[in-house]
Amino acid sequence: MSQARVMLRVIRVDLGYFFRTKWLLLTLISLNLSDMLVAGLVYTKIMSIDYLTFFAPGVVVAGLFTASLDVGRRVHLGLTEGVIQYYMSLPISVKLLAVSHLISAGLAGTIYSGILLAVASLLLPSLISLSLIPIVASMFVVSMGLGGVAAVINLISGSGDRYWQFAEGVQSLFLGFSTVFYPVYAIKSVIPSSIVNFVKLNPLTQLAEEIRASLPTEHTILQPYELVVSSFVLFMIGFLCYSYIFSEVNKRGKL
Amino acid sequence: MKKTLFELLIFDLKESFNSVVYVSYSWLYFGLQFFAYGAIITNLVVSVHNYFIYFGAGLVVLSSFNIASWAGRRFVEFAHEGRLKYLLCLPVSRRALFIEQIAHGVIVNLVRMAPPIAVVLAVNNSLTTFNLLGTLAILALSAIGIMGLMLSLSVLAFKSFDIYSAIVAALSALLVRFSTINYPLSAMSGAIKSISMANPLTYISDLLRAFLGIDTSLLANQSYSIAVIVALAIGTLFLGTYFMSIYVEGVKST
Amino acid sequence: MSYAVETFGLTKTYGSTVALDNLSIKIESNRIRVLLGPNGSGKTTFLHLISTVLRPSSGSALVFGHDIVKEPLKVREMVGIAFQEPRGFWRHKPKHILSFHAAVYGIDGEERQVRVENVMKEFGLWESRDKKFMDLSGGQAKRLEVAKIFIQKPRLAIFDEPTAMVDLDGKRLIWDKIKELKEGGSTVIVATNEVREAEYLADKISIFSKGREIVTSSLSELKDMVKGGDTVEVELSGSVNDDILSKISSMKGTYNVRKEEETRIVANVTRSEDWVPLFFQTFENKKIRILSIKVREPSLDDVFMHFIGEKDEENTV
Repeated sequence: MSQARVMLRVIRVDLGYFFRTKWLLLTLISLNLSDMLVAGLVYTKIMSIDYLTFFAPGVVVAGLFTASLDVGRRVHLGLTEGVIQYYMSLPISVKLLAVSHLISAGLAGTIYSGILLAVASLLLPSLISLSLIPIVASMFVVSMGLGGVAAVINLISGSGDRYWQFAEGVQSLFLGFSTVFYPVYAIKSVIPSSIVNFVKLNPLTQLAEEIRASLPTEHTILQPYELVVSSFVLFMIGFLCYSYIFSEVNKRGKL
Repeated sequence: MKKTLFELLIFDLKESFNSVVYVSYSWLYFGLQFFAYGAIITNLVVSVHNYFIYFGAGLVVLSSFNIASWAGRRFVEFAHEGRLKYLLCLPVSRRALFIEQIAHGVIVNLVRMAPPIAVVLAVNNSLTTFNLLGTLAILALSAIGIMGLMLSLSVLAFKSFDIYSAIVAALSALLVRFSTINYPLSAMSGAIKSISMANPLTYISDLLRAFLGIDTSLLANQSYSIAVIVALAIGTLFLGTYFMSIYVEGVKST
Repeated sequence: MSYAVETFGLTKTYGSTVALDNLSIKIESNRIRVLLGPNGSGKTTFLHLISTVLRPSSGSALVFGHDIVKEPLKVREMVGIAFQEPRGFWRHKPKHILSFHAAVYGIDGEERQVRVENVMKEFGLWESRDKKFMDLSGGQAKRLEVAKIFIQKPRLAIFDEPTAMVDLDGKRLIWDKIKELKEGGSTVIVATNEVREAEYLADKISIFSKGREIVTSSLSELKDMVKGGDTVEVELSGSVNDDILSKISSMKGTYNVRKEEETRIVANVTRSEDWVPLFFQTFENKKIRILSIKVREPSLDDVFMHFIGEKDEENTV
């Protein structure tokens, strides 16, 4: 029996969870839009830069986190509701189960942020170009890496009910120490140089810069290979975390 | 009944503070947002004087709002975990149970927010007992209002948890965006400004800023702010107790 | 005889707690084996180990010749387990949960739809098809959990307390379905602490206590193993005296005997089918006549308490 079949089903279930209600999805999208249109517009009036143009790509990148963390939340629910034990009885290895959840995160992030990207393109028409294809591919790669971050949060929060609290903190760290919301020069003047290196290596920075690179007015610090490398590192960390979590459930019956 | 309520309150508080790590983490998280993100964004803001403190006050209100929302949502989770059924069979009235939930939320809010407020006051060189107690009083009143709102909305959750989650998420986020938590009214225009002026969070944030000595020309009128916060607290208390006594068990209580 | 499951010193510990203690057991193919034991006796742990949901601390086990540690995927392809606590995402509907399970085991297209619908109807879930898992009653959730196995029809079907929380009609339905599963070629293992369930289903019963297998046998053999388990009530034509009681006491198979009324005795004996002919022989040439004789076998309750009690005594000593 093919393990691929089980993988596909697990991925489908994960995606089904994120896109489970049109209400929730509409709400999330409208929130991101209000971020772009309200916060972006108002901040533009009190800031020294055209914040709307800077911020719209940032919102697209932040959307990846929303989707990837929600898939992580699905795994968390699986742990607390006992479904992971059911998965353990299915013909799929622990490693492929881990990979399935990471791919789910990649797909959920790409689909969700793809919608945001489409909206951002209405605001910033120069985004619509051939560069969209590598951008979407990068979104998938980064989103899988963020799935790895969700795995780490799952490991930290265990079977307790703190998943979202920890997720909020981790999300804030990744978004805050990136150029998603602020340009790198504003960060450099406040943050120690060692953390600035983290900002540059952060895959969110790389993706935000990749999107901004297609805007004629924006200067970027894009290093495309760093995006792949840093996302892969996060993916591997996530893979190890999920493998560990599932092995623990297999060994002890719980995390 | 009083003893049962007290026991319930103690039980809830112990549960909310059982993780020292988590409470410390929430303070660290506040510190990170204030000192790192606040400082970065202050670098970019050119037309608001002392934006760092302006941002700090907004962050205090945002954190307090999140705690109050969490305490309200917790009640809905009780319903779905089955704990509510147990609570409803205890010898306490629905109304008293509602008040107990509010009291729990307010105490958690004050304990969790006292150190961050003290930090912002200290950075602003305005840490006095009067200012600390004054800001905590504003937060306590606003926590009652926000919790009352969330608990009132919990009636929706008995129909569909998904709809409730969507409405609460949307409402929370919109309340934050269409308010002066992050930016002053003077930077807004049109519909954004009109909605923000009808938003209680605007008045909570700006009243707090008045204690911090932020330029009052940037803020909403203080007397008006106090009236809005008190009205919100009283209004949602009435609304919440009404909903609680009528809808929570699905039939009108006797 | 081919075995569906063979274990060799299978042990599972959680810290200092020994959940399963050096278990070596063989379960025949195409039979229903019932595991009977009190709470915490290791039944569920055993089921989770052979379905690879848990990994053993030591020892090994083969499922249709495949090692549960070395070849877990092969084992999982052949095994289906209905958990004690129903497992499902709270927001999924029964149809979604069963379709997922069917798809995972390669049941596709129209066949899947038909099978899911039929099983839902058979198990009384059709009316609840639009409810979410979290809104199902305890009994419905349990039926759903059990229904997964009937979608899958695995070579080794494992049920952990399949009728807990299920109403009487539902219990009978599930039991009959489990028997059908066996008729269809599956091996079935059922863990329960409900004696009636064991009596109805079992080809063989294994009694577990404190992580160990105490005894395994067919129901009739188990009853025979109980010393003095059969109760024989005899009505005589005359008074029962000490001489009669003494003769009966000395008969092979008598566990104890007492005078209930002037002309009636009650004896607890082992293997009444041997004891009764012997009793007739003993009183054949006596003046006293036997007016009536009633034999009652021990119930499975008695058997269960006998072995569990014995085990507890051993532990106490």
